Amino acid sequence: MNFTEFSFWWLLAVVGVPILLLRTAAKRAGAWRETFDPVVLFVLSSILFWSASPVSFTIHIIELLLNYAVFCALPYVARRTGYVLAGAAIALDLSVLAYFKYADFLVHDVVGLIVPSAASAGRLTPVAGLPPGISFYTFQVVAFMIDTVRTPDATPVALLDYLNFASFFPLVVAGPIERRADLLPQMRGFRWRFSAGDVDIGLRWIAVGAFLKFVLADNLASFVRVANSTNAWVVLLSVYLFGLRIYFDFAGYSCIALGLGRALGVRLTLNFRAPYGSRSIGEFWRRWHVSLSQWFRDYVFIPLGGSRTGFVAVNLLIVFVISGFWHGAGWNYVMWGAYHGLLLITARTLARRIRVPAAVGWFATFNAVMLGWLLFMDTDASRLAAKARLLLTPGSYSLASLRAAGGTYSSVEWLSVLITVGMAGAVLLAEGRTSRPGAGHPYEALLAMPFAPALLAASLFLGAKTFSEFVYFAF
Amino acid sequence: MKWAVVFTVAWGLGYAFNAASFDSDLSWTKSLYERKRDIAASLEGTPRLLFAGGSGVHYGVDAMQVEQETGMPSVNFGLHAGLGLNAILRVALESLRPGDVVVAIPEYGILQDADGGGWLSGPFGAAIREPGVGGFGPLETARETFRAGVTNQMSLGKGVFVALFGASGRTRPLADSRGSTSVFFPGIPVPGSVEGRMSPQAERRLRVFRDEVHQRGATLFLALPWLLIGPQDHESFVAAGRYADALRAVAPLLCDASLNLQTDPARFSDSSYHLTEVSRRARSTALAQQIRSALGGQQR
Repeated sequence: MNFTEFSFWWLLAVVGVPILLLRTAAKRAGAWRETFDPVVLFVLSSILFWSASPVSFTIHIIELLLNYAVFCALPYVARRTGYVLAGAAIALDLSVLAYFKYADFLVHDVVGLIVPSAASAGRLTPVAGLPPGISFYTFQVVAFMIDTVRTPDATPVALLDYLNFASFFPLVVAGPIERRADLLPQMRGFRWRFSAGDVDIGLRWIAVGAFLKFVLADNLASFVRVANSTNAWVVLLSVYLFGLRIYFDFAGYSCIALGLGRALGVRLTLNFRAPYGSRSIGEFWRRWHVSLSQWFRDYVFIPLGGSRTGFVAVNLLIVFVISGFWHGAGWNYVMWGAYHGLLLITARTLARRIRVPAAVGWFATFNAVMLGWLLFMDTDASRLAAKARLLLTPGSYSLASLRAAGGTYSSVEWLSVLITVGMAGAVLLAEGRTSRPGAGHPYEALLAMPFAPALLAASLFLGAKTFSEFVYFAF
Repeated sequence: MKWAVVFTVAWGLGYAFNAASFDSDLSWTKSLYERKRDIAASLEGTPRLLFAGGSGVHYGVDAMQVEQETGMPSVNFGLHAGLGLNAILRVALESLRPGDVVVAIPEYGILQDADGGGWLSGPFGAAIREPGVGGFGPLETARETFRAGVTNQMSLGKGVFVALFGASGRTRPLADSRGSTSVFFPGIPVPGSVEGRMSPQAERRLRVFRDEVHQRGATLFLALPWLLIGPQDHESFVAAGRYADALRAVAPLLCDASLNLQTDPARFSDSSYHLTEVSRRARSTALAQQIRSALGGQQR
């Protein structure tokens, strides 16, 4: 279920088109009821997920059925028992996530810190590798359970609607992490309508997403030199290129997901709101991976006491460390989370004392975020330490090393770097122009005619030689 | 409707660009393919030896020398690893005759690849007027046909440069009368490594290729390429062992106990798969001995 793979679109066409033709024929013959539509949606989502990974799909469905069983039991048990049942379901969901994603890290890198024999033991490989989308759909079903317990809703939820809520194919692999209140009503009334307006807007989103992913992210990825830890200029350039790459990669995926949803008449959450135009680190986190940030705010930060306790700084740090850990099973991700937590605490403290011009705020935020990607980019601890030492040594930035950095790419590649970064800058500017209050959403300019079709054409002409995996698929 | 028009026009323009082979990698591969196909077609005698693979074969096997040492007419059909396994095997198959012996020596990267296509396979299909070449089933054929109209920033940039400045972006591939390279590019190769394992797709494709070869009355051998690795790279040795086991399960495998992994950079030219002229001689002699031995074994 990877939007960059031809096989996804092929399967979508090969399975989806006959099913819908059958539906149309049956409808004309009067043999189709609209209540069949959600069934068809679930069948399509299931086939697409199954084809990506049969084992992962099986795990996913078993998890959903267990959660649904608990959800159905809640109205019939005492409130306290309901809490226990919901807690058990959430613990089970998180345990499955922990087993697949964190077991090896916990044994080798955490227990191994205390017990040396654990660090040198053989690698723990889960039975099915890391199931695609497990980090995303786990958070979605956990949020559903918490929302249900918090605000009991007497309206029953049909199993099919719940399955569609948690398995909707555009979002199941990498979000957005949708909430019960936003997505469930759309799944309850799901019908295959294919209105011309929705399809057109959906295709525009897909065109924008394809451009961000194939042209910007994939080309940028080919210029990132993660292995270089000896030239400060190359390390610095790679960090900034990676920062641009990861944004366009994930934003591109999210736009395609949003477009697929919209073409089917389903509105999904916009996950990125021009984050690199932010003028403070707090604003950055309100614009970056919005659905995840809101999840951590509502289900971790606020339950910890939020801003109303004397431990705001501690709460923030906890939230960001957990958020970093969610991104990957490695100390570098934990450090990246802690780095952002400390940035936010520092920014909040300074904001009470000094006010800075917007341009200064943007400059400081942009560069602080970019430098933080160093921690995210490199999973090799010793190389990461070498890079950090290099960047903190003033002597590393000599003219000689700058000249040496010039040999990192051929002249054609340098030209390609400049063109790609130029296009990336133009997109960021276009986003920034429309992201001010009252100016609509950040992608409005790109979605407008004739830009969107031009971006689709550009995706066929200006991509990279090889596709790169979505960075967030690893999470 | 407007989206279909935009897509079709854009794809058509991309197809035309690829068909014109402005990209130097593409034009190099296309001319190399045409030359080697012609050599194979004109090569008399039987049984013939045909070496298939990427540029590791083009720069690493001296078909003329193997011919002298085995007494079998030989042709080097090494092309470009960017074509991927499917297209490399497909074009090799087209040149086979009954009684031939084909030695496939795919690079590790194309054996690991999960889809069997390469970044060059689609454009190559457009360039030789066979969109979908290497397609292996409906999905892969559709994918390769789609890729025939897709180009990339680098290729387009080079094409525009050629159009603006009139320079020839098309480099002539230098190959001798048996298809082996006649030019060597000096360089300091960066050691490569062997990672992962052979993909299920590659295994499936090789098995089908073996059956296709047998149906044509020919014989298939597989071989490991010579690859430069780091001096202490034990992990590559372990990984190469996995590939060797997987390949042996498909067809007889030609390699020595070192699994053809090399640690002396002096044996390589501009890439960890490209040999110098001297080391190519050693490699070709070893290969000729292995072929003689394998054929002798089969006859017994």
